[in-house]
Amino acid sequence: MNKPYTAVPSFAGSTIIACATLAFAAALALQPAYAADASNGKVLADSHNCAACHGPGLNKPVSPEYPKLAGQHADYIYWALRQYQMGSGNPHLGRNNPIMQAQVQSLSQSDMKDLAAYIESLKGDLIDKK
Amino acid sequence: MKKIVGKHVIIGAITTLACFAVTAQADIVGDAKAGQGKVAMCIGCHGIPDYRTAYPEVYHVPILGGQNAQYIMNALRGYKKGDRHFETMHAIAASLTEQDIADIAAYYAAQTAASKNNPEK
Repeated sequence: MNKPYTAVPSFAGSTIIACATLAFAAALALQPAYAADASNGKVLADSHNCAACHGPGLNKPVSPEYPKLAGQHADYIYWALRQYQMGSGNPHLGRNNPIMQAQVQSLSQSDMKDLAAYIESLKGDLIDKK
Repeated sequence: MKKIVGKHVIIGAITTLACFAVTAQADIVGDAKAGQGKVAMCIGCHGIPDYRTAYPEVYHVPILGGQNAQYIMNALRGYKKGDRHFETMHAIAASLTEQDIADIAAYYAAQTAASKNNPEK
């Protein structure tokens, strides 16, 4: 009959619940399951001038040494970008390309996911065959 | 006099060697048809829809069809040398000659939406 929680005024109770909900929402927002935003990826691709090397539509590189990107798997692109960011600082995983290393330094993890989603959404020459 | 002759001989020898090195490099031309018979190790992963790596990160293996040949060649040389890091790719690339690398690159670069899957599979 004399339950302790009934002694708490209902106003305080709802505040606690509201706080808990907020904390839960914040925790959710910080989770790694991040929905990539291809439209932000396009903004980043333009501002970083990817097309200067990878060509129009990121499908016609200006030199055959550079890869076509349009339509490439987003998770592979994300990993490649992370490897460039590690660069020579990580001798086991990093990729060493001076241009790409400089390009990706300012990108956050979510920026790289957005870029990757944008690249995958583009139509190009790449085709998955045996 | 003797000194001058010696110098000329050395310069001549270096020039000849340099020319030889350049031609040796230029002699390797990728042949897509030959590449068709050399991709047995590639198609176990590349070209299988949704195929993913397991370690150190999970991701779809890259699409190779239609990619620039020169880029593929540089990538294979990077795996062979260890500049690029992926154990499986290192093991495979290390077994390839420069001619193999050129042929495989030519094979993938030539693929289009109209290409048939490898008949030798």
